[in-house]
Amino acid sequence: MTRRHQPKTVAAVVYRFDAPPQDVFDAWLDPDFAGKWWFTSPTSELNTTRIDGRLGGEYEIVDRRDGITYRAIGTFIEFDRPHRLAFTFAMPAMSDAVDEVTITIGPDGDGSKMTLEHACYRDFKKPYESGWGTMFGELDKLLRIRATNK
Amino acid sequence: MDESRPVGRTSSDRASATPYLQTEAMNLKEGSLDRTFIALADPTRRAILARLNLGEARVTEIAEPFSISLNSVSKHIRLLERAALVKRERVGREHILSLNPSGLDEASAWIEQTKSLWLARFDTLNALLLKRKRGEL
Repeated sequence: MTRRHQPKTVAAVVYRFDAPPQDVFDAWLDPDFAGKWWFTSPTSELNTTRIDGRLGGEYEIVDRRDGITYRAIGTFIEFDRPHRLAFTFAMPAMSDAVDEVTITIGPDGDGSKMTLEHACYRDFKKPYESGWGTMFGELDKLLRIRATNK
Repeated sequence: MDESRPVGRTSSDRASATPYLQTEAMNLKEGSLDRTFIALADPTRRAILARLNLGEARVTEIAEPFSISLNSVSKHIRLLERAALVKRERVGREHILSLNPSGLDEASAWIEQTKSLWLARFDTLNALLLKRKRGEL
């Protein structure tokens, strides 16, 4: 499914929630609740969220905004309530890429701390490989010169 | 916002945590490249980049030489942030902008945009959790 031969790129965030770990964990699994925040936006006109919250279970979220329909699908590949959750993430209409999202949740005072790692496996182009070398190259140089002078 | 008390995030993460539509397109292979082009396609935005190349600046300082409103300058700046070309730091009430040298690297841009997207979602989620705790949901 994922193209493992491609380099792995990871975006990681840490966030503190004002709710206990089980509430944060369940926020990913309750379709009504997840539909309000997971894969939607304030300008959303329509959101359909289906979640089969168990190991091997699948989810599908369809969100329409600004006249465009976005569809995300995936499978839960790790499931340890309320500590750890991992799932695949794909938007088949846009790309054949399959990302992986891993969440770990721990208590933090009267709230909780969640770490999320979003990994993708694709070949990102360097600016000079994009065929727009001159324009990017010049600006890139400019930015790097400035960064070095700091 | 004050209630969310996020940890482990920098002010520059915070500043660009709004690009719902743009970052939803991040799975498009050329997504970050598109954003870069859109950001660079406008003379005002290129002028802002040129100004920031001289050194970091406040939003008001950047807006000064332009005949357009502070509001539309802010919109231009947000677009540059979404393209990860410009980063924002909050120092007290001041918003300091500077160039982001890694903005032209697609992988770095993807990381920044993905982080922004999740942080924006978590702001929404935490607000919902608090609402429910107060019995408003």
